[in-house]
Amino acid sequence: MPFEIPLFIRSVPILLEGLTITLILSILAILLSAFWGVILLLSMRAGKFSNAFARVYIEIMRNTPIIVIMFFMFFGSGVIGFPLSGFIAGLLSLVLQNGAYVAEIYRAGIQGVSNRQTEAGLALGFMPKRTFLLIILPQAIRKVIAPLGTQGVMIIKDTAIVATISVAEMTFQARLLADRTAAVFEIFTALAIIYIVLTSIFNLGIRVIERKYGYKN
Amino acid sequence: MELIINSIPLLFKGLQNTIIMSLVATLLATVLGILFAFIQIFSHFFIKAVVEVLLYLIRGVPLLVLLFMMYYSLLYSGLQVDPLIGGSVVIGVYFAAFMSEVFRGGILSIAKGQWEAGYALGLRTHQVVGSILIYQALRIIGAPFINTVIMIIKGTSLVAIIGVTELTFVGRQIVERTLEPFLIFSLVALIYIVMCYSLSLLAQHLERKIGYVN
Amino acid sequence: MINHILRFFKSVPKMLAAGMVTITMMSPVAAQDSRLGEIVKRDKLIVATFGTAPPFCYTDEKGELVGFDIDIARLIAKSLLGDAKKVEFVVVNSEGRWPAVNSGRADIGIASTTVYPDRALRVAFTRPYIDSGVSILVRKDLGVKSLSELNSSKYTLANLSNPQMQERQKRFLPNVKVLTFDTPSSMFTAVRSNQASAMQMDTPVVNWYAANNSELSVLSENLAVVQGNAIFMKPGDFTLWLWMDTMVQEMQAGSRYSEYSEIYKKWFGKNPPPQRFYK
Repeated sequence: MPFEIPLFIRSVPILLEGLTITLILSILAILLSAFWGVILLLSMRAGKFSNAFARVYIEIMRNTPIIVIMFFMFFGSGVIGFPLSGFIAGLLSLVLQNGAYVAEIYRAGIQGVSNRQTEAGLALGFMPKRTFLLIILPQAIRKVIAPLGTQGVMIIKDTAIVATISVAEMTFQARLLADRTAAVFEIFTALAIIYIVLTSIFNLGIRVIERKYGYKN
Repeated sequence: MELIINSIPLLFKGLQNTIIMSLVATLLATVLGILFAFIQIFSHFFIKAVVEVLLYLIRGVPLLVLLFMMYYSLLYSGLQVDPLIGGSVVIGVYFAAFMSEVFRGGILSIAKGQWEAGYALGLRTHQVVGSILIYQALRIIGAPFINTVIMIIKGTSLVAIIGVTELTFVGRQIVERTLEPFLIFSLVALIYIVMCYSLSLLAQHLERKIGYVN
Repeated sequence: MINHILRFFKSVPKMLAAGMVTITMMSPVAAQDSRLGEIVKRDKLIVATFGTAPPFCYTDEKGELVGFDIDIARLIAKSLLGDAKKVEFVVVNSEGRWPAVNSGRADIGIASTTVYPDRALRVAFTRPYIDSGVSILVRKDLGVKSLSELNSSKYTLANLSNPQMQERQKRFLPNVKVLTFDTPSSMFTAVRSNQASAMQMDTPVVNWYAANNSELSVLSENLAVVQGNAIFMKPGDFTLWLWMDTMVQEMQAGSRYSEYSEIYKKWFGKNPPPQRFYK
């Protein structure tokens, strides 16, 4: 059936009404996961028990689909009497899952820094903790910018799923609009394009950061 | 509790659909992924550019949005395609973009010298690929391949939104009936975790046994 | 005399037009092109419906599609094809019901669908097969007894994702917080799990939920006048529409009334509106 350009153009502003929520949710989720990943990482290094807990947590979060986590949070919170809004339940789910992924990325980055650096630091007389913080960590962070970027893109795309728990972001607006008009093809193409623009801008940002601070092998 | 016992047969039926969809999607993603990887490495500039742009676009859109597009296109065109098959195809195409990266990495990681050595020994192309390169490539792609399969399995949970009775959808139905979200969704999560974690253990095992660290 | 002749000539275009209209109307309006012929030939009726809208069309614990609409569809198949089992159901979601019939995927739709004029722009409705309306299902423990009490930002209303719901909410309950879902059963779960205080839905649906759940009750004020749920199909196929409409008439007040009453009593526990009772 013919693709009608005017319908396509008219759907964009309505979709953009959901953009604010998408952006806020994405940015919060990215920042909070980065932070939560650090905490998980530190607990992995802090001792046998906390390492075990962290590992179990990470495996649970990595192997459960995000939509199941979101439903669990959203409907579960209501049943125990403290209903979380769709936004908070979605944000919580995104952070809990992506924090686990981010912690793994940090860990891989740290392992990637050569053992010689640790030896060198200790030989120079640094305490183990300071070796870690001042020598290993900065190198590790610069190494993992790219994988963190990929994870960030995944977070942005996963925000679409909160539409199912009634958060008025872009995909939600698209479905509402689709119910009202019959121009489903035009609406969802516009939606896809907006997401591509969003992720491209983010990717560009990551590449700029990588160029400035990245680790040249 | 008896709720768990009563739910298990229903969840099992949903699990069957999840497994079918994952298998179909993995097959499709692998075939397309290899195809795209070869195009990206060996092809002419124009075809390569087209494929790379296509893959970039697919990776930039949420899977959920692609699923909606497929679902509505099916409805509007009147084709008699089961959303289960349609969903598997969409997931397959989406993850083909990821698989192509996996295979590209595998193919590129083999030093050029191996090709030359093979030819120098007098082997034909298909013999070089089949006897020398494939084992080296498999060692590199084994783990990322399995990780992508895990992502595919998790991705099938999204077809619940378009009404396919897979595991997550069945879980949701049971919760709507019984209002025990913690119990039922934990059970659902447990099933996914068992499936995906076993695969990830397999990946770790592969990496340790035959993995190849550059 | 000349005037007479001139007047005759002026009326020729009108006569030609009238003649052409009569001729097209007289030629058998290709009954063989109608969807009805296809249904009979295929010996199966394809019906678009929902899977999450009790008691009209939903899946039960065994995973089977059941409901008032489902039984009505089977009654129609029995009357058309002789066998209540000759139905294939296409389960769609709220936005999907229109393209399901318009694209030809399904012959008709019986999906707890209320008749509204703007919907009639896209599909053809028969007369309603059951009365409906819009009521509010509310949690008893909130102690809300009227619409005006509910209309405060303390409460959350669960809506379905279609435009009529949004308009009604804006008109009657402008101050409540809103949650929007894509199926009645998720709205219902939201109310039961305390994510929402109330939901608006078709009166028969609300009554059914309240009858089956003691912690929920129905507000006495309705959000709409009495409305009707009807069968819908792709517009333009007069033969199919006429048959379906005749069938609904027969169900509600004619030869199929006893089967209709049985189905009605099974799902709603009371008798449907009576037939004419004079002798």
